[in-house]
Amino acid sequence: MVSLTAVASLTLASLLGLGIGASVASEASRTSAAGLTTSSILQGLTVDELQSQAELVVSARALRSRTIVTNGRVETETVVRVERAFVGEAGRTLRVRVPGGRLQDGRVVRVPGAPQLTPGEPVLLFLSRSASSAAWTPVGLFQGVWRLDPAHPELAWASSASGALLLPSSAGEAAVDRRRRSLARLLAGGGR
Amino acid sequence: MTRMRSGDDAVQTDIVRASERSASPSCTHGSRIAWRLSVGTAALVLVLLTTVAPAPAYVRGTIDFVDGAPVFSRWSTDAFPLGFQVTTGLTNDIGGTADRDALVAALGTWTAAPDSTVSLFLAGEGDVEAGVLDGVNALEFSNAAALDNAGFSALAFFLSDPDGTITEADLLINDRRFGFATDGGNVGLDLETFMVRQLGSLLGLDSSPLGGPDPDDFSMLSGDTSVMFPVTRGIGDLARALRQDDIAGIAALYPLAGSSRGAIRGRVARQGSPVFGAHVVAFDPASQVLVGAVSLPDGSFSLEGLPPGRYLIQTVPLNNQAGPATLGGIFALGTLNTSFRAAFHSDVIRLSAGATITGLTLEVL
Repeated sequence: MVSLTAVASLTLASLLGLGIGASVASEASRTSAAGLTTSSILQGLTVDELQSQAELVVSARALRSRTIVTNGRVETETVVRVERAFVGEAGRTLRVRVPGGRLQDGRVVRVPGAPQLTPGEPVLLFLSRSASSAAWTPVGLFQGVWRLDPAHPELAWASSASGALLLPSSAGEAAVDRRRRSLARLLAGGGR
Repeated sequence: MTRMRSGDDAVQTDIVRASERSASPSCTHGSRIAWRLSVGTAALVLVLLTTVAPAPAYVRGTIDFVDGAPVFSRWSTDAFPLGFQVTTGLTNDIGGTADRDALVAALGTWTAAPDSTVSLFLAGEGDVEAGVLDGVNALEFSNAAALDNAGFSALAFFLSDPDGTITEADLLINDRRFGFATDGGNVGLDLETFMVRQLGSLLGLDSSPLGGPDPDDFSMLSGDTSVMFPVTRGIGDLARALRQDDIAGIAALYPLAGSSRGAIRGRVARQGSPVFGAHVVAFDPASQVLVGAVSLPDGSFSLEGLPPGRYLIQTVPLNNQAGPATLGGIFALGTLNTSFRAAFHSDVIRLSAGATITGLTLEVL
């Protein structure tokens, strides 16, 4: 999903004569008069922010997933096989947790904005330590999971936002504002 | 099956009018009355759409595919009246009981939607926790310092049965990131507007995809919008009120028995192949009712919850800023077709009370 950018917000505001876009661009850390409203609202992260917030950046493939319920909170834990660590040190496998998941009885907890890791699919992961466990969690939820295509090893594709909305980043263009990015530049930062 | 052609030559091609054949419920749109719409008439319609038509299009929330078919998200009919519990004191941004009053007003807005069985109420204030499976529909306002770096302003949690029936819905609101107010959005983010929008989502409506600044989408250039559009585009009561599209959406999800609302169903195709993710918008110039839907992977669409009227049909590709970017469920899983041309299908369809018109095929270029 491509995020709703500050530019779009400004354009919308000027279309309506509302003068609200400026507050979006200048005060992105607080959701105010811009009125961005959808069920899940995430802070857009630039490439630099993705990198700076990630303790670990790896290319990997998901092996298997399971649903974990802890004190009523549902998460999906996916074991991924690390193919290459670009930032930080990683073992051969990692456990990555995201909110939501499918329970044994078939019920589903859905969290708009949470990424899905499909077994076998190559991905680039920007990870930080999960607050509640020894597992890892994608930085910015779906923003921290990029799809890789072996046919185009130089490129990475942003994950779907799954119904969440991004607030524009005051630091610049959010990484996922572009559906496709050069892998080298994504890893090098700079938001180019 | 009725076939209509669209694109630049739409105004000069044979078109089909269903008005004389759509009087009875569940009839098939099979009449083929060929006539020609003059360029002048088409231009007038375009002007009407450009100048007066609001731009919302409701989308039913989906959670997954099962055997290739989308699973729609909704509460069971016996879920109502549906209660929500909220954090004591709600937001720190607003003192007194004004924030509570705003929430109660938002709950009441959906309850008052006509032709729908929705009934929402405030079940109480307490130490609620969003994201916990506890049978409580929680609206948690959190000021925990840990949320400073959480990277989100709000997170929604939906617990659904395999058939899509929602059994619990929570919303975690990062109060450290919001600047709520109750002034109608003149300065801060109007809490009532915010909650109306969020409750619509928790009821099973996806984001409205129309409204972005796409010059090709001539229906978008109006200042009006659905409350389900992700960006609030108005202030005061204007922003807080449900639009016809919202009402159609909630009436379609939770229909009131005996309602006079009907539906128009069909398929969007391009050279015979289904078009996934096309907006199909029905507009009645007389009543100003505008209701939309987004076509599914098989190209099918269903414009439901329509009041009786005479509707013009439009197909529009989703735009990058406010289309695929803001839809969830199956629309986030697949690749939406946005490469066709926006087109006005030069047909007028008369929808009688309670009627369902089926079999439309809208071809796009």
